[in-house]
Amino acid sequence: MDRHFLKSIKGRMLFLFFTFTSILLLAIGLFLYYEVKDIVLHSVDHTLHSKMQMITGLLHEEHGAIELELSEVISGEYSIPRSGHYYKVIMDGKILAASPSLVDKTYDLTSGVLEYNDLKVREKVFTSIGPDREPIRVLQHDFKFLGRNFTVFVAESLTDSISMIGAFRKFLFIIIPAGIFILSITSLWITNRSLKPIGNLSDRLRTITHKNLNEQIDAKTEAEELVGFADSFNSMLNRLQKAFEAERRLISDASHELKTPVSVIKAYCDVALQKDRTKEELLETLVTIKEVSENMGRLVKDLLSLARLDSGVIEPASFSVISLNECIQQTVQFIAPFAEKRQIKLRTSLTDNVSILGNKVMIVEAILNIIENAVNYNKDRGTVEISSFLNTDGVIVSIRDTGIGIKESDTERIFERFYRADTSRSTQGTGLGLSIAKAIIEAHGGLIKVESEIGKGTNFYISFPITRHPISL
Amino acid sequence: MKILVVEDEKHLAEILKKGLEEKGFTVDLSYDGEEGLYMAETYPYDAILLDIILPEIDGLTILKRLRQKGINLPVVMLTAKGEIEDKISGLDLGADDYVAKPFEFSELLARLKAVIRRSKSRAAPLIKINDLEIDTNSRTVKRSGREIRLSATEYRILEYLAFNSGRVISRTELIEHIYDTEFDLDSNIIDVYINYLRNKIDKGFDGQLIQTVRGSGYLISDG
Repeated sequence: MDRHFLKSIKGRMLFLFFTFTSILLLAIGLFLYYEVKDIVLHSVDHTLHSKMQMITGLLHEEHGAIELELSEVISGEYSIPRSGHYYKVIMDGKILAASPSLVDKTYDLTSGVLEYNDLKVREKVFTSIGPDREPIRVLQHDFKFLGRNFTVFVAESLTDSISMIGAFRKFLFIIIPAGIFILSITSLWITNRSLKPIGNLSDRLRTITHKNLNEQIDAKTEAEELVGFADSFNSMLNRLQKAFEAERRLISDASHELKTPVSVIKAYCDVALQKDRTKEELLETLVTIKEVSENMGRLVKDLLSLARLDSGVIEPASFSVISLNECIQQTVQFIAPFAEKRQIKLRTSLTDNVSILGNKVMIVEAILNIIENAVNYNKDRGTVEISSFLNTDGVIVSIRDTGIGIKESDTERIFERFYRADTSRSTQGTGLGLSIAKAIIEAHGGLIKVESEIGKGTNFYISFPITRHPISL
Repeated sequence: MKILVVEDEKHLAEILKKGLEEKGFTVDLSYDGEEGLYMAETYPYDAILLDIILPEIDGLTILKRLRQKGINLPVVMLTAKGEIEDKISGLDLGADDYVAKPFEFSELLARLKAVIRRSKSRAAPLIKINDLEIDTNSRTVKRSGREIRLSATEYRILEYLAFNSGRVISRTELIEHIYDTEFDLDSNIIDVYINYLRNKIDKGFDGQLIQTVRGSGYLISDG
């Protein structure tokens, strides 16, 4: 609980505020306490000095003897025993005079602590115990007068001063905790108020689900500081919405694409079962169902490939050094029988062996998809030319066909999922091949581009960064 | 009954044609929206089976244009989407029914027949004219309780006349609704089939049901 509280902004703010105000108020209290104590003692010392001056001024010689003649003005407080005002004059080690208030003339006024010692003016100040067991402040002054050594003590009771300081200390003991308490409450209120916009914002964020990702958070009404936060959040929402939208579209497209072959298969079965059929009729139906289900199998395979690519399965860490020429040759070998059926020539002119870093199966799949595309959309007896060359950035593979070509407006869209430039379903393929190729190539740090002219053909360029070139095998 | 099927998946279009023809319909096929719209506007069909996602012009747009032009023939939408929004927007545009892919062929057939019957103001699948009974589901014909076996073409002609009973049907109209659009034969072929039909349903029964309206065509009526 405590740990949680300190983890919260509110907890931290309160804790810090409490600590700082406490330290500050305590320091102020201590300072004031010592300052007041100092002032009080200072004023006592001041009184002692003036009394000392007065008493020393009263020393005079009369008939060859030195005497102390007290004036009426000050004799009162010194004559009452235990009045708290004392003096004592010692001449050449002998007590010359002492105030009547000091009942025992020999009482040692300087038994306490020496507070300070001014050698220049030969003055000492003590805090000591008076004859009445009361705290006293004592000023001792040594001087020569008329060739004799004098030591004069003047003392004042500190009882009043100490009770005054004590009262002040009591006051501080009440006022400081009260101050800390009041300031803490205030800081709690300030914290709550300052954090309110965050609470409001979080309430509004809570209402956002995958269904209303397009909503934007406006923090201007809450607090200027939250605008930046809201902006980052909004841009995250935008990205999420785009990803969700793409996902939703893919699922909707995929379900449409999958429902179509299922409908065909089902309709063929329903119609075949509608009445008695000859063996030939049934065979014909089966051949169609086989063809459609093969297409469907390809679609499922492609969808899984895409899903895998989307989830980021291709990791550069798993890449190994592979020969690009080998990948191309394998692909060409695989596709050759299909091309031959339509008398399409496959020509290759490859640069010296080039190594790239990648996943061989994936690279073959990407190239296969593009060459397959070039064969499928070619005219009969056409050609597909596969060449590779090096440039400063890496290696470029060019796949050029003599097919029907792609409209300028479609060249951007052919890499979209399920996009077919030829909208009738007459041509084979799942509509995913080029999206898969693009995803694979980009996962390998490569690029894919297309140039096309209607009626003349299409040219795909794939580029890969190379590891080292050329290596001779 | 003549149906136009607009479906871009060729396998599906062909099996629909085959299946519907086996059930006594005449079927024209179109693989894209533009051609489909043209055919629907040009030729007289008894119903259209319309896919939603089509090249060139999509199914919903075709439907909208047909309704704007006041062509009210029954339309059954065929959709792989099958989503509620599609259904609502389609129905708003004036589709008569829906079949979601993948569908049961018998269900498609039943729905198609139902919308045709409704469009001819005959909700029940059984047509009765005097003592003649035509069951359009099982495609069986009875007169005075006795079953009469008809060939596919004979049945189609009889069904069309019966659906439009009380109205004179020209030979051209019969040809248009019985044969697919590529059919290019002398309309006298109809006279030959009418003759066969008369031999089967009128001969030996009381009252001539099929009447010839000189210079116009044929008529089947209660009278």
